[in-house]
Amino acid sequence: MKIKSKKGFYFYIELVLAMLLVTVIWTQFPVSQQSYLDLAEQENLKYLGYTSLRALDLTEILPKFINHTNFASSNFTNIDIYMKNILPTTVLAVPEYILNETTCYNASGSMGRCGINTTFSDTTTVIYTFSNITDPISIKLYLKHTFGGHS
Amino acid sequence: MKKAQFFLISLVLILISMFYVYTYIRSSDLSSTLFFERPATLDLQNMIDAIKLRNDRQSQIPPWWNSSWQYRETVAVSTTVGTGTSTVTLEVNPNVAAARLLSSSCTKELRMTNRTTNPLVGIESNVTAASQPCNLVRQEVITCGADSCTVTFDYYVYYGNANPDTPSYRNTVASGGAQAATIGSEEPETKTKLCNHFMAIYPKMGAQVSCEVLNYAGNKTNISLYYNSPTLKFNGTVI
Repeated sequence: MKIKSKKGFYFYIELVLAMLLVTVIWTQFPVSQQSYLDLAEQENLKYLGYTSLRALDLTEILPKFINHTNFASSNFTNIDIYMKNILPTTVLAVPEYILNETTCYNASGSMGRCGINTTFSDTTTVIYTFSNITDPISIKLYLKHTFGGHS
Repeated sequence: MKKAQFFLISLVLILISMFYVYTYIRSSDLSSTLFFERPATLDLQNMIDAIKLRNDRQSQIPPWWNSSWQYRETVAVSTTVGTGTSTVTLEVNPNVAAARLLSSSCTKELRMTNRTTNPLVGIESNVTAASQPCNLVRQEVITCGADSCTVTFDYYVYYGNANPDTPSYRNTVASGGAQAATIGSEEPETKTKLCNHFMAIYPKMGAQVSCEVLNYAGNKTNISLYYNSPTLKFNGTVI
């Protein structure tokens, strides 16, 4: 009688573990599961985006087209052109300009809430803060390989 | 047998969990899960770069007179006098946009400094009206050793302070009629808001950020920066 009871105990433990496993997988399943190589590739994209923006800053291109005292009057078209030109053609980049926690400008200079629509999904992002301005601006670059990449 | 089965199942579950943790990374930013954290190196590097680059750029221009004023512009005005010592009255229209005159008071807010003195010090001036449109008036003494001398005066005009006091030297110089002047482009004061920006933006990336301006060296800022993320910690000063 005692042995029979112990067998039942293990059975329920197995059942609970199985249910636990299913629950964890079901509730925690990622938006898109990636390999470790994908993470490395995303890091490369981040560095590429960051160094590109820094190069635009150091070569006085960002200071030239960003209005230092009134960001809304910046030349967003030219900034966009330079960003696209400095990055490889296989990289898709969409900038978002963060003024503060809640206010952002999109690539064409329209002010609104922060966060780009999810139509541009599976991206990685990097932030570059431009400091030579009355109200500092952080450029959040959404980056994605247009083809050939894992992301 | 059952005990062995239990341990076997447990072992398999542990291995599955380890594999799951190892490979599971969400692609959307800010949402790395489980034991993976968003790499923080670039964020910290960006903050340090932003401070240093701002300091490098600002060190090439004359220091700011007073950080309570957010903007300044250059004003150059020329005048011609005859031989001997002359007192001339210079009057210029600084063309300050109404939105930039935060107190809406020319009397209180518009201030002048010479561009050539270091450090910059406020110099006496008057205004022709309490509110816009208003001109700035200043007297200068010129000594000319020739029959005729043309002298150019370079000033900074400061504005963009919502709560200035009225300086004691107002109403001491009478209007002399506006003269042609060369107004330079507007420059922003960039010392004070960088820390606030860091503390608003970077904690959203999953890090603790503390930033404080310790002191100014000319236009440079000596900033104390504390950054703490699960993968990276920094505590130091940046200038």
